[in-house]
Amino acid sequence: MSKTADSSATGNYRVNHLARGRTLRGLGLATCLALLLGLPLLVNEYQQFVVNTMVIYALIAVGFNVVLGYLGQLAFANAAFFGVGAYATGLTMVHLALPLPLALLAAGAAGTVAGIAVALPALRVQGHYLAIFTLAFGELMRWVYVHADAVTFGPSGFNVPRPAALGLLGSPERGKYYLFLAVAIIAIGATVRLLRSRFGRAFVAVRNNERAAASLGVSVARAKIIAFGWSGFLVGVAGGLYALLNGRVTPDSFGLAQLLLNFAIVMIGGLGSVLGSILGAILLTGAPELLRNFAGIEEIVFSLLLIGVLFFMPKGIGGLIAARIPALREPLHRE
Amino acid sequence: MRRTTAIVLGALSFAVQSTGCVNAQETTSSPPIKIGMFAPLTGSAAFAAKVAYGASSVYKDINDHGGINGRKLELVLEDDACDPNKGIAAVKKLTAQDRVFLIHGGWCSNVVLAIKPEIERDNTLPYVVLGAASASISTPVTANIFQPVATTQAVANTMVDFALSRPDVKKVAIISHSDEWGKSHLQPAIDALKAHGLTPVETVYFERGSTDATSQTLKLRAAKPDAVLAVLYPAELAIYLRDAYKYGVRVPTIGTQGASIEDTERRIGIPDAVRDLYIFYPLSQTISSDQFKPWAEIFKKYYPAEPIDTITFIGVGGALAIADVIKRLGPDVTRERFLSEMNKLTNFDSGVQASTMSFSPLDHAGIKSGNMIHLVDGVPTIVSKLSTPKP
Repeated sequence: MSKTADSSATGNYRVNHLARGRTLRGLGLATCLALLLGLPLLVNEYQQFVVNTMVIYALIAVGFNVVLGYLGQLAFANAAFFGVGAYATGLTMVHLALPLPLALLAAGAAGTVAGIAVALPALRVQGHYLAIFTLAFGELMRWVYVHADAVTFGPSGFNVPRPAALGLLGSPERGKYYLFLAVAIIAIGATVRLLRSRFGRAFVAVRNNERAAASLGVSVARAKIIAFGWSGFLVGVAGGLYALLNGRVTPDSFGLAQLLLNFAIVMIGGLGSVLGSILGAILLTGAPELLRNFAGIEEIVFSLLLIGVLFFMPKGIGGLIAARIPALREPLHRE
Repeated sequence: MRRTTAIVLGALSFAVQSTGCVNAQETTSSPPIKIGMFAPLTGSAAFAAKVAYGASSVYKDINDHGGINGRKLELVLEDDACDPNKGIAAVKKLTAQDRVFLIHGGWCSNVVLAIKPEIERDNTLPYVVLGAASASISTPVTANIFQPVATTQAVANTMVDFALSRPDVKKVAIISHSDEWGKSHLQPAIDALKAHGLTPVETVYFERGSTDATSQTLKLRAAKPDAVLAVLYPAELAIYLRDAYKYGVRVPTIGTQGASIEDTERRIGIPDAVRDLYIFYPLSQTISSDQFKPWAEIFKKYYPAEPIDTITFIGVGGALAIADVIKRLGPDVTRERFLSEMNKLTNFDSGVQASTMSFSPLDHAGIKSGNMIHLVDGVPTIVSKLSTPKP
C-alpha cells in the first residue's frame, strides 16, 4: 500500500514537474520572442549588425552540432558548407537575377548537396580520417572559389545585390534582422523537431555505438546521410544570409579561421545542445566586439575567456544549463 | 640630452610646418574632429598594425602642437583583423556609434572592397584609404573614396619597368599569391610585360600561410628567368627567397610594397639570400637617412616599443594630406567641403612619399609611382636601375 502511494506521489510529482517545466519553457520562449522582436528599437546600426551576425552564427552552430554533437562525427566541412551557401546565394542573384527567397533556397539546396557529398565518404571512413577528408574538402572548395574566376569572380570576390525590400523598415540592417530571425527560428525549430523524432534518436544511437545501433535496426548510412544533408542545409542557408549581411562574398571568409570559430562556438556551447549552440554563438561573436575597447590585448582577453569557459564548464554552456536548470535540459544532450 | 631634445623639437617643427597646423592664437575650445581608423591589429595581418600607428603618430603630433585651426583631432582606432565581416562591423561602429567626421583606414584590400558598398551608400562620408593598394578601390571613381597610396597597378607597372631597366632582361617569371591582393598585382604586371612585347616565362602561385616553396622554386629555376617578380607577403617572400637561395636561383627578385627589405633580411638571416632582392619602395628616402629622421623621431615619441619599418610610414602621407585639407577648410569643417578640397589636392608633397599626391573628380588614385630599394653593402639604398647579379 505504502509502495503504491509512494509511486503515485512520485508520478504526480513527475507530472507536475514536467508541466511546470513546459510552462517555464513556454513563458521563456514567449519572453525571448518578444525581446527579439523589439530588439531593433533599442540598438543602433552597428549593434544591429553585430546582432545579425549572432543570428547567423547561431544557425551555423546548430547545423554544425547536428553532425559533431548529435551524430558524433569528427567532420570539419562546416566552413565549406557555409561558403557553398554564400556563393550559391550571391551567384544566383548576380548571374541568374534570382529573387532573394529563391536564392536562399538555392543556398540550402547547395549546402544539402555538399553535405550529402561529404556523407558518402563518411560511410567508409571515421575519426581522424574523416576529419582530414573534410578539411581537404573545405580547401578544395576554396580553391574552386579562387580559380574558377569566370563563375566565382576569383579571389576578389563579388558584391551581392541588396534587395530593396530590406530597406522598407527604415534601415537595411533592421530589415535583414527580421528576415534572418524568421529564417533562424524556422530552421532551428525544424532542427529541434528533427532531433526529437526517430531520426534524431538514430543520430544519437550512431553517435553512441554504430554497431549497436545497426544491430537494433538503425540504418547507419541513412542516419549519416540525413544528418550531413540537414547540417549542410542549415549551414548553407546561414551562408546565404551571411552573403546578404556583408553584401560581399570573398574566398577568404571560408577558410580555416572560419572553421575554427565555428568549432569553438560548438565546443563552448556544448556538444549536442541546441540552446548551448545559440548561446555559444552569441558569446563568441559578441565578445570580440565588446573587447574592441581593449586595444592590443583583445586576443589575450578573448583566449583567457575561452580557456576559462572550458575550464569551468568542460561540458560547455549546454552542460551547465542541463545541470543547473533542469527545465531547460535537452533530451539528447551529450553528457 | 640637449641634442636629443633639439632633434625632437626640430622634428616636431618639421612635421607641423609641413602640415601647416600651428595656430597658437586660435582657441582650442572647439569640439575635436573625430577621425575613424581601422586596420588589422590582430590576426594574420597584424604586422600591418604599425601602418595605423604611423598615421596615428601624425595626428598625435598635430594635437601636441595645438591641433588644426584650434581644433584637436580625436582618433578612434578599430580592429578589422583583415576580415571583411569585422571590417564592416568596425565601419558601422565608427559611423553609427562614434559618429566620426571621416574615416582613414584599411590595410587589407579584401576588407576595403567589402566596406566599399557601405561607404558608397553614405556618400557624404569622406573615406581615405590607409594602405590598401588594390586598384579596384579607386577605379572606377567613387565620389567619397580617396586612395593616397600607390595602387597595385602603379606598383606592378613600376616593378616591370624596373625589371626591364637592364637591357639584357628578356625573360621574366612571376611568383604570386592567388588571393585578391596577389591577382590585383599579377594581371597589371602581365599587361605591362605585354606592352613591352613579353609574356612571363613562368607564373607560379604560392599560397598564403605556406611554409615551403620548393616546388615553386624548382619550376622557376627550370624556366631560367632573367628576373623574378615576387608578389608575396613578408613571411612568404622570406620563405621563397630562402628556398631560391637553397636551390641556386641567382636572379634578381623584385618585390612589392607589401614587404620591407629590412624585415625580409631579418626574417631570412642569410645576407646572401637577399643580395639580389629589390623591393618597391613607397617612401621618399630610406628610413635610416638623415632626411627621414624627423618622421622616425615622431613615431618613436608615441610608439617607443614599436620597431620602425618601411610600412610604418605608408599611411603617413594620407594623414598629412587629410591634415592639410582640414587646415584649408578653416573654421567651417564640413564633409562636403572636405570632399571638395580633396578633389582639388594637386601635387601635394608630404615629404614622406616617393611621389606627390594628386586627386581630381575623375581620378582618386593619388599616387602613380614609387622608388625601388636594394641592399648595397648591407645598407638599404634607393636605386634607379636593376644591376647585374654578382657571381
